[in-house]
Amino acid sequence: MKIFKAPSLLIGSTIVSIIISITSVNSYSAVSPDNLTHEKMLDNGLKVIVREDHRSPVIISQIWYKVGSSYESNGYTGLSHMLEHMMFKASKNLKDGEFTKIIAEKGGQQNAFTSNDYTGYYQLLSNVHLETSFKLEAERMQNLSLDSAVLEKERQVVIEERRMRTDDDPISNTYERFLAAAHISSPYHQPVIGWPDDLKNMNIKDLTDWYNTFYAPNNATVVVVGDINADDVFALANKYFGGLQKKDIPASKPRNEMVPIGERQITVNIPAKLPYLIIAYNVPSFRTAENKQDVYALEVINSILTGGNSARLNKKLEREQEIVTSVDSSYDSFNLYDGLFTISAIPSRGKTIANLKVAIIKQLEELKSSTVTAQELERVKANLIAGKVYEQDSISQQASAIGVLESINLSWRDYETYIEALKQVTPEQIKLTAQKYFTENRLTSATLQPKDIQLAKD
Amino acid sequence: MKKLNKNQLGLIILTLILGIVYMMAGTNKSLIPMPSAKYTRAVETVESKSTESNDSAAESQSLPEQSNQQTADKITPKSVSLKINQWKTKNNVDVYFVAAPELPMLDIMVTFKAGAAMSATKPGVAALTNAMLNEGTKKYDNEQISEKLESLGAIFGSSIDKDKSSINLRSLTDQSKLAPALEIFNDLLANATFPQKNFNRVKNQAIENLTLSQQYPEVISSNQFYKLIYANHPYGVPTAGTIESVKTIKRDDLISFYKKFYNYNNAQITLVGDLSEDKAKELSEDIAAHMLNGEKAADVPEIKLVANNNIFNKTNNLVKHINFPSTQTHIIFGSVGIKRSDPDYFALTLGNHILGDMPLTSLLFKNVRIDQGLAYSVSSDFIAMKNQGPFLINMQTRNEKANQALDVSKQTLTDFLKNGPTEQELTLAKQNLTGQFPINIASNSKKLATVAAIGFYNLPLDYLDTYVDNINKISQQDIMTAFNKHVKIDNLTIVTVGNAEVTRAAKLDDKTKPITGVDGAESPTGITEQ
Repeated sequence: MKIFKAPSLLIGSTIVSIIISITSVNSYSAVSPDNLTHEKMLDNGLKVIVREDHRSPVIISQIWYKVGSSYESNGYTGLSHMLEHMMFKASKNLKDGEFTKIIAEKGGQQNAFTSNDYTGYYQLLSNVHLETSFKLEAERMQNLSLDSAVLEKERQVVIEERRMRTDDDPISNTYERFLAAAHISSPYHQPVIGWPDDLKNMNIKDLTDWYNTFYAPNNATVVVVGDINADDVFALANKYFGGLQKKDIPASKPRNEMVPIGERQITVNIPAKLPYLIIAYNVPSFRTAENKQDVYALEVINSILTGGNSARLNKKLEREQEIVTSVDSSYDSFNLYDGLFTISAIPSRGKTIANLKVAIIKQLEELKSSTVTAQELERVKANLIAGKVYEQDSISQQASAIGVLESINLSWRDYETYIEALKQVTPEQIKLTAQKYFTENRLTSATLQPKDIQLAKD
Repeated sequence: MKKLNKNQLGLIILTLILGIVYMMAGTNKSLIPMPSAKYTRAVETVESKSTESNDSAAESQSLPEQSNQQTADKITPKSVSLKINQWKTKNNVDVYFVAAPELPMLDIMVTFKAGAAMSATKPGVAALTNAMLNEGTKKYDNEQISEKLESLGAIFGSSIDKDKSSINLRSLTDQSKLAPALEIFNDLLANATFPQKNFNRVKNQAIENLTLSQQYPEVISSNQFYKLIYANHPYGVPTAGTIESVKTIKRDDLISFYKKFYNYNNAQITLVGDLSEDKAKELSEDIAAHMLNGEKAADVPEIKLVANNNIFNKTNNLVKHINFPSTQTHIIFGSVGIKRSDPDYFALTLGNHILGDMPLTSLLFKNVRIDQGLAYSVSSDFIAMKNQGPFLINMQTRNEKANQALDVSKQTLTDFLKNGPTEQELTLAKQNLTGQFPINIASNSKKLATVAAIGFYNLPLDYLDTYVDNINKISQQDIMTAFNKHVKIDNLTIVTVGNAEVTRAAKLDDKTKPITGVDGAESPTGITEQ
């Protein structure tokens, strides 16, 4: 995940003060200083967050459940994602296909997503149809039917999805193996879609147990962004979700990444046309870092390396040395567990993966030994500032920024302070952070070695 | 195609199926929060076809009462319209402007009739020209261009499909940011120099990216499909070119193409953002004044469809299989379809929405995915272009089930041609298409794409205002007539890419008729089914 942009606080206060009104023991409501983002918790623990954006008469309505592949164990991987598929099927008051039909009738665009740490569902609708969204989401939150005949069909669909996304895509395939090597004890070791045997063998009881355990109002966040009044949203939320029962959600057992004690290297030999290299360092995430400064610095390093055409790796590896056809880096800081700082690249013709690895590591060594320029930091800052405006062009992006943070037990308010902190990172901090984390012990590399792609002529 | 990360490659793979290639010449990794979903969605996101056929609908004050509308819900969304201001600059460039004062930002898009079809004799030239505009001008080298734009927080991009190419700029409207960003943008328009050293590198990258794309069966199947249905017509050439063709391209080819096509007689300007109309006029004059002189591009040749609506003058299905070591077989079939200007456009769009476009509820989705679990993604498309774009159905399924998937989807199409949609299907599709209208023009980016398409395809300026009526007045008979006119079940081109050995070895169930194409034989003489 790239650096987040804050929901807009155009009235430029850097200290977020929150007006809290306590209406009952378990529920509360709060609003941001610009009066645009409102938060309320219902008695049953459902958190509802509304951000008013009156540019167009549309809304996005999302619900985020705190369950994903990082909650799963070996033998039961892929459950959260399969459940996401099954959530579109029949429930107590909706026949199979009725959910999607009702949203379609309202001119809605609908979909869902599963990740390591959360599962989310959303509809994009005209603002008059929020009630329908809430009614349907409340229904499938606790009344899903979960039928085994339906599972049999959907299992095949998910297996096709796995084939399409992973098995037949050499880069994704490599990436899946790479994650298993880079993450040893943390649940990010396993793929969100699940291992093939787990997909084949999951049964309706597994899914039912999973659903009953995690799908509850006190394990969910509703996020609505768009042309709507916060009070209306809260009233509707109370009407449809208020009567749902909270559940005792089992506390997650900690599954932290062990301290890395040596470099890992893997090779993937599969049919492909071009080689591919992924390298990554085990690093903390925002939640796990002892010192948050490390996280901010890693974010800025990410931008310095590949945050635009003028960034270091693009400039040096792609254009000056012409050692890569393409290169990218990423750092995912909004996770439950430790993350990775990843760099991936396709070598240019005639260059080997070995050459490439040396060249990349040399760039990282430079970060440790010399200081980044003021100009580089200015570019990062300019990107952050402009990005804050551009992000407001999309209600989906604004909603996701809120939902992701809340789903990993942070607050949407953290976003603003996060962005501000990024602007404060100094060259010295970057140097120290690079020295601390870009070390051999923390390194995993994965190489895709292409095998010939030809099949026997028919 | 200089910097291609995995996400961009994914985007390209998906859009290649639709015959569009996006090459982001400037990729600011903007700080956009997206859910870090490694596996997403019950439904694969269908990439926006906004450059080809953006179906944004205008909402009238209340949906017209129709005898076949069943909705009990009397809530009607607020009326939504998009005020498009249009004028010509002093040198006759069409400008389209939508005011969006709520956010202090501006989107500029300059669109040229300079798509890949314009360089069909040298495939890849149009794409490389478009990709290299920011590789240097007389005044600035590529490093200076990138550094300056990025220090302003400006985002430069470029894209190309078979009909058109465009370059765009996103900037804050703060004059201290906009003015310098615009200076560079205007410079690129007229003074790009395509330096030899940069050209060598970009050419190499393009060849490598084309090589990479050959490890994706969806790209192979799409390229083959277009090649077969269009034969020697320029639309049959891959937008990015081929490895062989790109190898022969010289720097001079790009310079010639640039001089010929990137001129003000061959362009339109679209502006969306926080500007007054006066300021927008001033800005458009400034941009247009910087542009090169030249001629408007000739139209891409007409596609002559002969008997049975087919470019080949064949009366049977053409079936082609390409062997590939994937676990899935990629299937794409269809024929030449319609121009954007075709009077049947609305009937076909609505009909296609029912057949295979509406996510989760289309006929193909129900039959192929929900009922039989055969595919994760299955869809149909009428891609209306300047000339006749394709009609196509595509899906991917495990090799063992390739025959069955093809059989089921062909049967769905056959039934649809024979019976048309039911009343309920028609109603649902109308509600869905018209109801989505406000969503499809909600953001500045969407407004930009929509309005640019209206301009490029010469759609009336009130297109959005009349969209709902145009959709709502279509009958079941209209759809059947239009579909049967443009789609012939015996005149399809079928391309499959996958492991035929596995397909052959699989047991067919009693109901499935074998399709010779997927068995591995290239059979131009038709298939053995009723």
